[in-house]
Amino acid sequence: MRQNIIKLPSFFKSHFLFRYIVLGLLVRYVIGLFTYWPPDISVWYKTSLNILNGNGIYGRGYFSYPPVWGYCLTFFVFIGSLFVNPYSFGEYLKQQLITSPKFQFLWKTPILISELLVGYILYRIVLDFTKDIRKAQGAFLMWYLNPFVFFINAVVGQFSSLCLLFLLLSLCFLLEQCFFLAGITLMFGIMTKLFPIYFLPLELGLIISLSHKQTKLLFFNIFLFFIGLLIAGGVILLPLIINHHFENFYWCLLGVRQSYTGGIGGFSLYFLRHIPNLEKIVIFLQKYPQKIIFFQNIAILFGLTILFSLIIFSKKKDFIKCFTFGSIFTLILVYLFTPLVQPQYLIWIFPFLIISILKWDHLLSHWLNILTYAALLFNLSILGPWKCLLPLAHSLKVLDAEKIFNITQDYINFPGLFHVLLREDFLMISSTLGVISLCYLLIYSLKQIVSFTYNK
Amino acid sequence: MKKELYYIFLLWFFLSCLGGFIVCKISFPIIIKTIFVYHDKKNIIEYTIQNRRNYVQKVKLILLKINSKNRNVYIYYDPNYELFEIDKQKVLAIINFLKTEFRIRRYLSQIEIINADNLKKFLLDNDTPKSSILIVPTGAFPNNIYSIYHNLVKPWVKKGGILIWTTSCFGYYSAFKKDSLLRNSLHPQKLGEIYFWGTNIINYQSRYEKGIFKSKIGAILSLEYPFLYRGVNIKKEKLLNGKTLGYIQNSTTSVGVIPLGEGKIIIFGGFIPRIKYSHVIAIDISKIISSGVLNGDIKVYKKYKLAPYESINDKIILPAKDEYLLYIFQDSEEASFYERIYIKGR
Repeated sequence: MRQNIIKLPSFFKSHFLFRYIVLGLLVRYVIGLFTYWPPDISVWYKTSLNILNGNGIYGRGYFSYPPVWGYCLTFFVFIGSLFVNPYSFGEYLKQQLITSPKFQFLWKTPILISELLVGYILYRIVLDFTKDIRKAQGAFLMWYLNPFVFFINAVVGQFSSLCLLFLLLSLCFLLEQCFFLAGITLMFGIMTKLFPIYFLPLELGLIISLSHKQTKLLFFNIFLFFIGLLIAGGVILLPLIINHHFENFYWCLLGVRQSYTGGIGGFSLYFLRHIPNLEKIVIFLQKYPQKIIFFQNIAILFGLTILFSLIIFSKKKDFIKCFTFGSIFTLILVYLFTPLVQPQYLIWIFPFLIISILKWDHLLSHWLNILTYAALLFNLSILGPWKCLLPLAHSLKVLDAEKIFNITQDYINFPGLFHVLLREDFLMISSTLGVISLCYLLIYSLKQIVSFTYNK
Repeated sequence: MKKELYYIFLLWFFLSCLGGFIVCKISFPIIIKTIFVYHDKKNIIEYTIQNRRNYVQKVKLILLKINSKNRNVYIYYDPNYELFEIDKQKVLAIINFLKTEFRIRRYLSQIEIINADNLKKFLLDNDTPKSSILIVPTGAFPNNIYSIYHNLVKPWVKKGGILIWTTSCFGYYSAFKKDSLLRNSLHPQKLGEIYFWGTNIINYQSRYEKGIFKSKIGAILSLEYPFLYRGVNIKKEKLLNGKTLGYIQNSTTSVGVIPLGEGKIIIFGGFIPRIKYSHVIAIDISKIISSGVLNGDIKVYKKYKLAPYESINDKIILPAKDEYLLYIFQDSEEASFYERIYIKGR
């Protein structure tokens, strides 16, 4: 028994990733506790207080995502509320909510755990695919030390990593031929952020390919997959049904979005709105939101149908390539035709891009770098980087919060070279670079899928 | 690898399920028990308020002498008609957030959205004035009920209807269908106020002008809407026996109530710079309606600060043999505890 207790830490200590994980978590917590992303913070703060007051996740309509992230938030915030007064989680300064490091700790912990687990899964996938431990270690480090991944998880605290984790789990279970669990984890992904629903054609294509044209086996596998999806959906929605919050959930997902959405731009084809003179065309399109949504759905449906057909009719069954390039193709297709794509969505592509860099084409690392810095620039130029430091200024008093407000205001009003404002110049440069990279990667991934479809 | 995937999946499955379980099990942070006693020819309400959390909670209690119970709420919105000084997203935000706020406050009356055609029928129906509240978040009445030629709103309010106006200048615009050629031709403009009260009651302020001082009722209900842009003139409001609910500055209030016949009109400052303020307006409207201040006057007001798990016993002696509403609520923006108790004195 004593031996076992000593053995466990020594196993971890001897693992190559151990010191990176410890150091990485330490840096993330040190920075993450004193930084936040002002546009998002009030949603998590108000949702948390509403949950603790018994209003549920959707009670007041601040939370407009499917419930899985809400459940994870509930778990951590509830544990925190047993030790700390939740009303001390934040306070308002000049109408700006500033949350305390205690709250940052509670809310960012599940995100940092997911980020770490994504890195670990990536490590295992590359190890399985390449049988090269160095490449596997490289994959982990490329993910975990990526500045944009760090910024999105530790500073912004976006829960995309959690959703990405479920998606990766689902795809891995599929390759391991655990179709039931693949269905369950995919539904967990869908119920975290709706995005993974676009992976259904890819996953169905993979199931068909993996079933080796045996009709009975194919139907059985598809049945298992859908049963997994349905059971997970039921389990996730059960608390909302028991609590009579299903109606709230429905309108929060649709009603709140209907009220708040309408923006276009970012890392999609509508990036044109960030370019002078072209913005008018896009603003004209914005007047017809239903046409934009119709065009988006048709384009995505068309692209996914092509992907599905290519996978099921491929002569050479290369599941690893299907998995990697199919995922890149799906994600980029969805991004390009969605009216508004915020930069945090780009971290979804990174694991698949890292796999393809380490397994097939190291030149793709340039595109990964461009996407990383373009996304970072886009995010930081929205409000400037200084406002992220408000918790640091407020809790440790090492900075003057008043000065941060003034610097941010000066930055927002600073004149630009191509636009009236400098920040619009930054948005234009970063989104143009990002969308060019995405277009290249879309064509590249399609080429890869087509090449193994027609090559025996 | 398979084994590790299982562990990772199980970890998140367990966390999510536990979170879902906690969501189901979290109870309201405050409970109240009331007993109505008739003793020595006095009507007494004895109550116990208990904090069920390990942190301090603030609770407010008001007793109102009321003349009517809950009314049904109707919100006017017609996507085919013009909007003034507001966009579609902000109107939808007001509507959506109103629904949730009423649900949380357990205001169980009917809440319905009506279009321009149904609004006309609604205003012409003699049963609706005394049982309904009409909310107009669109910045204008539609032209089938209100223009320089006709006004169906005023008779409805005079018969006992309650109207809540949230956006732009009250009665200034008359909205037409978006494809109509007559657009912008029949706005009553500043005459709109005179149609209703025979005098101008709106103070014109700059857009971002905010009230600084809280009115008494506004402080009790913690109303937050601050803009005075097209707010009510307090002096005129007092002359017309109105009530000040919002913030005050420059003789203007951000939320004012002005009686008209048997009914009343509640006017907000009218400026909604961001969607955040749609939410603020929705919260304030739900506070005003569910607290009962539109149906009566506050007779008793008490404030409690409850230590962790503390219980407080207290009582109120009812002033007369009338109908009362006892409204107890948690003093927090994220509150969940709202209790409405109707009492009839012997």
